[in-house]
Amino acid sequence: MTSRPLATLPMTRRSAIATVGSVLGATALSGSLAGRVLADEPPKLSWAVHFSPTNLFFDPGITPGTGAPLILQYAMHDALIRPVRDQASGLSLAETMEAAEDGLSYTFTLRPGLKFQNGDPITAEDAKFSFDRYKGANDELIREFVTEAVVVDPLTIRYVLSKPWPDFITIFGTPASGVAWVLPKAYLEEVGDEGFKAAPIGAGPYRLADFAAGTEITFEASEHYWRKTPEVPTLVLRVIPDPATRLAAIQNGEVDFAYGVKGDLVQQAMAQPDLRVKSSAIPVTNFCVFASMNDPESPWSDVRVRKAANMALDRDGINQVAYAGLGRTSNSIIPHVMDYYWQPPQTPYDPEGAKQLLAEAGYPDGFDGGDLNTSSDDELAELIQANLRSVGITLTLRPTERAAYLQKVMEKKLTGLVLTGSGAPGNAASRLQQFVHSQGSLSYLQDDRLDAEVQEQAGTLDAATRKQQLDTIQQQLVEESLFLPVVEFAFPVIIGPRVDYDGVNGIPGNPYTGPYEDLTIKS
Amino acid sequence: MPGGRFFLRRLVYAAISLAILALTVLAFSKVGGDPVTMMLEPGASQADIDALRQRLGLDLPFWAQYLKFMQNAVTGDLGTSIYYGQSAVGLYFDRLPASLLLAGTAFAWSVLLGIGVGVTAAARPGCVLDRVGAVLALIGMSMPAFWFGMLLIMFFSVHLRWLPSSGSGSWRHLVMPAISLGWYFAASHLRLTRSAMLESLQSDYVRLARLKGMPEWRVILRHALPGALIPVVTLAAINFVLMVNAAVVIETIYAWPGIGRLLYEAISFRDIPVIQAVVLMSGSMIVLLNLATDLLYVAIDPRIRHAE
Repeated sequence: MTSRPLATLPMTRRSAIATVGSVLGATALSGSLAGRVLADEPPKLSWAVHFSPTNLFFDPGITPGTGAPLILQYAMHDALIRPVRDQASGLSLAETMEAAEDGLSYTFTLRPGLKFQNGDPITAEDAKFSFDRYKGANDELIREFVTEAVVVDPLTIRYVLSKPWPDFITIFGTPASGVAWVLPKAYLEEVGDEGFKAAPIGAGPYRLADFAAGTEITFEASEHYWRKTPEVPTLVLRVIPDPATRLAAIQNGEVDFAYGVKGDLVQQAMAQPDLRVKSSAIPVTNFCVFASMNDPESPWSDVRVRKAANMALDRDGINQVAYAGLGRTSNSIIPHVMDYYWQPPQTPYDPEGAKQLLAEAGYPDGFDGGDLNTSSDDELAELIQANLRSVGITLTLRPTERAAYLQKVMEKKLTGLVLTGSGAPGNAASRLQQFVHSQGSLSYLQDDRLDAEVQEQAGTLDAATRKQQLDTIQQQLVEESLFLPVVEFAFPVIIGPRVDYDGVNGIPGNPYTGPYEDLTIKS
Repeated sequence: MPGGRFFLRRLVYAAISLAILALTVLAFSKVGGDPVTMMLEPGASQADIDALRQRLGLDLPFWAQYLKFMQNAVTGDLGTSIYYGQSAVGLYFDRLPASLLLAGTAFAWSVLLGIGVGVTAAARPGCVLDRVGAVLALIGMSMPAFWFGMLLIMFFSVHLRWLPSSGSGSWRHLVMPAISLGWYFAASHLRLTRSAMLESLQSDYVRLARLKGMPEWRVILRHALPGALIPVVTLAAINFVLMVNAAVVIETIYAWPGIGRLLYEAISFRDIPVIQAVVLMSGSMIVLLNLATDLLYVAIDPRIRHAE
């Protein structure tokens, strides 16, 4: 056998083209074969998801009170009362709810014939068990008001309160807590908490078929769901961390929905005729806190300066650049979808008026406003900085990695401006508690008068009176320019050509598509 | 027994290195912020924050956390993922097969191309392949992996629709990540092979082989190449460990379910046990590799043995 030196092996142009051609041909052939195989599969919908849902989300009993678990929970579980299609809080497993006239109890009656995904009946015992084992968000607050859950009969459960609680439904019947979700008592006692996380059973429209941590989650339709057997037999959530790859996946037809694609990439999706782009109305407003306003030496302590900053913001322009126009410009720190929201008047974009106000405040040439503290993944900060610079207010951008930033915000040691927001479920009252009351976990305000007003509304049972009190507080925030609201967050959802009913904003406050059982594929 | 003492000393050094590595990772994780803030919404009540911190054992002092970690690590328990609630080592080994597949494929083509072109370029300096190789090496070393990866996706997935943009499960999913990952390493293998071969080809024993009238291919492959491969193989072994454990960018872009992506997620969520598990496992691989190399040197070179 003879060999030739490597350097002298002949590689003619023809053979090179033939080699490349055969590789590409094989690739194309396998692609078409793969497409044929896919056509024979049962219908399914796929999502390109921007984060890794954890199996801790399988258990609503330890929900952290963020929107993230809803991506799984609306498929796997169901609650007595929760946000349902087109209703911020509506009866689901419960057929009726009766509130006692004295406000000291709420009685729920379950629909007859309800079943978990394993075929076990759903009873009031399961609801009581779920209440008793609950350790998730707002647990302490719930236990402060709700003393016990009493099983009246197999289909009736009564929650007994120690004192009237105006926010019972807000906390109990929304994602502000997971206490109303009903879990299977017998199954959980059999497998334990760890076993449940490995193989969860719920009362929702889809059962978990496969979970690959951080990679892919597959659901199969449950024939036991009370509303109906879902239209689409299989749902697949594929975790794709990179936004450009998520866009490529939907452009290539690999998925039917893509979440969390931002900026220029959204514009690309909008330009593609077979894709639709919608924005979920989720309760997050981006706004700046004047962290130095309590320092009398700081220019931010002057209401005219704060007003000038508000007038210097081109909110429409910011919305266009940051969210492709899908956001909603805002003059309030409260998201407009929340209960007890007060609609403030528009603050005009008026840079000349802002300069005049600054001159009146003694800053005709502008001033150094200190830091603009922001999380490093937030793109809004540069736009705010540029807007304020145009009227003479210079800010030093201080982007910090998200975990460290959140810690600093909560320690309340930042100065200048802090770009922040919250996605915590609740209502206008809970937002004011966080950001306005001096003891609020994210509040930089120290105002006894506002503290008293926030406290007072928390104890008001009459809804109309409470609305008036909350309106008054929100009005003061705007009149005194205590914050710098910018724009309500846009969470774009890109929808592929196969999807018929897409479920975007189907469930109020839910960033994700839903109800899952209502989603349909075009015939 | 001198060899035994040498081995024991190296083993102790390795253990100390890993303990320091674990301490460093923990310290840096703490500096970067509280994992609880990443798991709760801004505005969560202090009671919820405290309850979660206690449940995760994050309320313990720093040193208590470190000592607890080291005690468990001795028994092979590197803790439980804060985010996934599963064994950190279990998560690592769940992702290992995917990383080995990707790294193995990328390694194979990068070594074949790098050494093949490197040898040819050194055998005929200035030839077309040498010039093309120089350009490829320059591009491979300087082009950011994320950008190259996105270019491939744009062309082969979005434009031609030949290959899936991301995920795993078939050879079609493997093509682009393996090319993107291997590109940089192919360039480094090529450069090192070429320079090592040029040096080897100037050596006396190669000159002697030529004087004996051997064919040029035999001189290159049988005499010059083995000597030149020693630094290349050493580099390639380290590169393989890096490909398995640190393909963070490539695995993130292509949503490849490997260890690099696990590390990316763990860093994003401040999942300290998983960060520690990945760093310690990859650190262990490198330490073991170095230990094996040290022992091999002792076996090969008696001067080292006697010096010890």
